[in-house]
Amino acid sequence: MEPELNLVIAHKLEAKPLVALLDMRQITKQPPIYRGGGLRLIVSGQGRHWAQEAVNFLAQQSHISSVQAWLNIGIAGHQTLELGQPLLANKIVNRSSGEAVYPAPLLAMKQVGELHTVDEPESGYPQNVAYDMEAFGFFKAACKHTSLELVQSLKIISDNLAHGADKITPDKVLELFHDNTDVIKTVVADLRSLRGRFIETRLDTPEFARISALVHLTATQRVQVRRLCQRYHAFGIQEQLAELLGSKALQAVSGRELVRSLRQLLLELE
Amino acid sequence: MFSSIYIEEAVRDSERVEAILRRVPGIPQIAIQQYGEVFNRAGQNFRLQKQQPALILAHKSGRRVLPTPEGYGFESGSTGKGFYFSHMLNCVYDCRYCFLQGMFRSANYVLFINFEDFEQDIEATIAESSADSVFYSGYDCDSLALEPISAFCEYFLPCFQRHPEHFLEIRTKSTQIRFLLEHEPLANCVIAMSFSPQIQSERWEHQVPSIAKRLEALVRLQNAGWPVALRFEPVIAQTNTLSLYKELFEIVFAQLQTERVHSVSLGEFRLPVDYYKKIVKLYPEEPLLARETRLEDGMISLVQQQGSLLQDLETMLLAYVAPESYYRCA
Ligand code: SF4
Repeated sequence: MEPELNLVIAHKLEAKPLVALLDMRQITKQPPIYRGGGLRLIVSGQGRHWAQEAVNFLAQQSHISSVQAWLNIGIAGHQTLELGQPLLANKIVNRSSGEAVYPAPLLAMKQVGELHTVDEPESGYPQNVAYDMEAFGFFKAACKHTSLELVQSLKIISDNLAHGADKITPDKVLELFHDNTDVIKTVVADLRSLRGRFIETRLDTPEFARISALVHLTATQRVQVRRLCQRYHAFGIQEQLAELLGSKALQAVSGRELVRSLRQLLLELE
Repeated sequence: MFSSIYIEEAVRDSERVEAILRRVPGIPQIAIQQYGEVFNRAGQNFRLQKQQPALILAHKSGRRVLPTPEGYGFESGSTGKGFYFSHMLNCVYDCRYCFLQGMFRSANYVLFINFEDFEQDIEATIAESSADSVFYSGYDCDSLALEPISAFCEYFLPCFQRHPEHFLEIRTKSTQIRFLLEHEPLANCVIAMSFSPQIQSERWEHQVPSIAKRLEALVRLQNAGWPVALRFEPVIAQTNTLSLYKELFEIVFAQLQTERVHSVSLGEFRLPVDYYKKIVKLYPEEPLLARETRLEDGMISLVQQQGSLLQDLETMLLAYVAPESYYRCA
């Protein structure tokens, strides 16, 4: 089964609480990939290049037609936000090039803000934004594999001007994730439900799946038959379609004849 | 109301942007360079975004006033020319037959806030045009629906007040008429309300005010002295289309002072084929889009639509309105 949602996480330390929280188990060691409950998690390593590589790796492992959502979760610094505050990125800037990308603001989460992806750990927090090292690479890569509404980045503030990154300990990371259990679960659920709504428009009808197995169709005929089956469903007359497909004679028809029959019956019933 | 507000850096400090932001407090704001980087991106899904659109405040450069396609509006019966300008892209309503779903990649609303530049271009166009030109404002949006936030009418009416020999048509399905009622009526500013039969409106015009509410708004405008117009578009054929329109016409013309209606039009359901294909992909389960279609000159129309339907509707309409105030939208 293809996963519904991919989680791209920079560090093992961040992945550990997520794996426990989302009830996943490790399926490969290198790269470290975990699966469970329709989710897949990869530990990418630090930096936007590795985040990008991790996305592409998972995409290659997926069936070309599968639609998956993508979520990057990790810790981030911020000039002013308190430690433990979650932040869903609504703008991600690649600090080295100045290029910006904009995750779609479609999730219910209220704590949103700007995130700058830097190449080296940021200890000066020059702007009142969040700082991480992966989100930009992650977002750019993931948008190549799905509709951009299904790509999001969630950060948990781990350091700020008052508490520098040097004070982050493994226990602190666990605590930050633990304190944000509900937020993480909500974002995961919202993103899955958004994907669900997206996929509804892409699903093939069962009749089309049956026809594809029975009749040889050219690429054009596949498009035509797929749409014809959708049209039967749109009119709520799929039973008549099933009847037509059930008739023995039809099982020996050519793709061309099939398209003609489907169209003819639809015209009569419309 | 909006999931977020994107603001082009170049317009961030303008008074109009400040005023708009005061009208919609508490919404996350996101700085952008140019509206296209959000609005025109590839790989977006109009249908998902339509659930929670964002507002984009931007500057419109390039050509702001353009000639309308042949036969678009009521200027076709006069010596004047038709022009349109789009201070906004996309609409707060969600009509399943709307071409905007196929035209734009994003369902976010773009509001161009350099009204002064639009006005300048309108003035320049007027200077080069003969009298009786018509300027359409609701081409890529519903011009009234966002009035409480955009203050579009508030800005543009004075411009047309100075040019009584030219017309402004504000095409809408909205009942946001408070500003118009507070303003003195202008004989050259026409509020054109679109209507479809009740059953079709309920089925396809999502979030649009009911026919009763729209009609009530139109009656109030007419009583206040505003020229009002009726747009029966798009005509979508079904088995009992004539009786549906008969009922609609009876309701509409019973409430309006028919002899004072500025103009009435009919227009059939037609879409450029590329837009149609995109909309089908967005809503494959929609029965309207599953119907048998015909392609002619790059435009898709319903097969059932053919025949004498529009003529029959015209005949019905002309029982209410004078032929000179009627036109068929191409
Ligand atoms: S009101 Fe007009 S512009 Fe708005 S969605 Fe409906 S058809 Fe489109």
